[in-house]
Amino acid sequence: MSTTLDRIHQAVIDGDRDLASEFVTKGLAEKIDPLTMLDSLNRGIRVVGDRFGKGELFIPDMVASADAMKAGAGILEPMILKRKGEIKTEGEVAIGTVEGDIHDIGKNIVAIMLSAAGFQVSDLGVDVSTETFIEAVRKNQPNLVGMSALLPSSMPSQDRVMKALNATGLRNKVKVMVGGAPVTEEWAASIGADGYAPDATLAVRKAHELVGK
Amino acid sequence: MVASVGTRDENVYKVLNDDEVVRIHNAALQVMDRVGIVVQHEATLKALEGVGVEVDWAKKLARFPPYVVKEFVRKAPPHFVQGGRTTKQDFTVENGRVYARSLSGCSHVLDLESGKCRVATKKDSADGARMIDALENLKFAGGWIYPGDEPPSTRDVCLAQIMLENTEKHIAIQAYEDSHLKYMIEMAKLVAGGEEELKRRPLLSIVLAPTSPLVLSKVMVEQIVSCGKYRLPGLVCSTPICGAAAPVTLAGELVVVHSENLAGTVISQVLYPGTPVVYGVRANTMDMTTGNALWGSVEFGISCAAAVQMGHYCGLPVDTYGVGSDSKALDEQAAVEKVFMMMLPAMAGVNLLTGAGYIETIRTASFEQIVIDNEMLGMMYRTLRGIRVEDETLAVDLISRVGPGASFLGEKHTRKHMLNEHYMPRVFDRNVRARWEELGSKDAAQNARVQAKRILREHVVPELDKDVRKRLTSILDEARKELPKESGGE
Repeated sequence: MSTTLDRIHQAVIDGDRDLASEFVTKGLAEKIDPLTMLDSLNRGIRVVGDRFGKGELFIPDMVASADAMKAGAGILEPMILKRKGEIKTEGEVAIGTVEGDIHDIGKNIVAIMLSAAGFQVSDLGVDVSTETFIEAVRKNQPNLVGMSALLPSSMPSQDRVMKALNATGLRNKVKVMVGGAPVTEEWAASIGADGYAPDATLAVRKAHELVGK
Repeated sequence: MVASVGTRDENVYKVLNDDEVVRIHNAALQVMDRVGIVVQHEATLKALEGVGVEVDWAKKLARFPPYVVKEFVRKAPPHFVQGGRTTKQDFTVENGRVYARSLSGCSHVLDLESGKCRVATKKDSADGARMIDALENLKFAGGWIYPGDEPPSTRDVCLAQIMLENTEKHIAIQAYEDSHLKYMIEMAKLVAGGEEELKRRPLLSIVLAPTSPLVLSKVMVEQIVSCGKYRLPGLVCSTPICGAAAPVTLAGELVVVHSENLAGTVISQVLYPGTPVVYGVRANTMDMTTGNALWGSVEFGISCAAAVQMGHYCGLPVDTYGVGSDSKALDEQAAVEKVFMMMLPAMAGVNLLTGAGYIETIRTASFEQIVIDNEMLGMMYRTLRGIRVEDETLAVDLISRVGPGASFLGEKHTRKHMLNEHYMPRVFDRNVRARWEELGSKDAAQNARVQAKRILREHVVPELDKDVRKRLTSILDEARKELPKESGGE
């Protein structure tokens, strides 16, 4: 007989956001510890990540499962804000597409793959200003910041964020990775980023290298 | 043999039957009317509102009633001239003709000496322009290789100068933003000999990219305006990743592509009626195992061929990719993917076939590969020319004169027609093995390398006037001063 926790776990695996929300809500009513439910959600996405790695599931499956996980985690967020330190995680990541750029497909896939690999990911969205990146680092203290740019003309925004991190004394508090079609290893080095990856799978590997526990 | 560029009247490859073309067209009209297109440019939204488009100002969403679409798409010219540096390079974009060019946008290049993949430099951009200038099956040029040693803010303007100096052919190019395009237009005016001459024989055509699905950004719409002002052909380049920025079904992707193209066309005709527009499609697909975009899949070719039908249905000339591959090497995968991607739209009657010169998903340019692509295009042209059936070619009189058991080799008829009827390759080897070994047992890539080096050594593009060159440089210098400031300072 399935418990609520089993159902939460399965809803993520099945990529069903409605069921994920439903069972998390039910779990709250049953007084299940929010952190335990978050763990079920995370374990669900990791199963999906494993199967994806084996070629049994595909990107759209990952996206649906990540959406389900986010739906459940969104409900739990206010309750676990103060208990962040108790959450088992590979690391915390803030990721976004830089200012002047609204492309997000690649960034979304990286965010999902990072979640599946055990990272806590905060997606800042698109057209993210330098100020927003800095605030995210200051307030939430992630281990890693990821910046995506699809347009060559948005690449200077990545440089501006690096400079702002230096200017505000936050640079050594966080690792920084950059990516996106026009971005290269050379560009990443020239702006002082800690890492670069040409696709989502390699981005996860690099993230582990830089901050994995 | 000079490759001919004609097609026959009957386009051979019809992916869609007539009903299906209409269904997709109607589906797109429905999307444009009920879902709407985001147009991130207030002045344009106002103009659209003025002609009957319903605007939701809060969302910057434009809903186009079908009658508005019909009224304005009709105004786009079905054929127009694209100019080169001299009238010798001019050509007319029109149905019944297929013209090919390189792609725009490689950031990397396969080094001709080492074979290694590296970031491209200004020298590569210039060499690339010269190669395009030399290759006979490329009627015009794209901004093939981006100079990676120029800071990102001015890479596009820098490339425009390099292209204008190193090829006489018409150049299709992309600007990051309208402020960048303005510098390119200044350069083009200079080389064309003034604004009036540039308008008469546009030296540049401009790639305008929607943000799929269904968003025409400020960056794009401002450039539609500039194109209209100078009557530069605008290539509305719908590039949705199938499965991500468009439905995963090819028919659904065509609906998105068709909607974006018609929206871009309507806007250009509302603002500047009669401005040349090209219906552009890059039907890239997503690799569902990695999330990477693919620029060599067979579906890309099929969708582009169907898009040709869709654009022609609306009376618009069509530009699609062909000659593409996701391979990292100059190998069988490169050859096979390119043939599918090239032949499908070509046989569907595409007007402008873009994409020569890349491997690896448009990231990497290869000088050897563009020589091979040129060869493939030659074979494509030969295919499109088909078979000439006339008294002269049926040759019944000749056959009866020569008679059973005899030879045609020495006949005047053979000498007269042999080069026209039979394509002679420049790169592909046809020798017997012993002779091939004597020549070094070279494969196609190696032969192409020899040719590429020879072209780069020997091909000379007439230099622009010294004064023009100086002024082009000062335009670039000004761009280098002003543009970084605009994006927030460097």
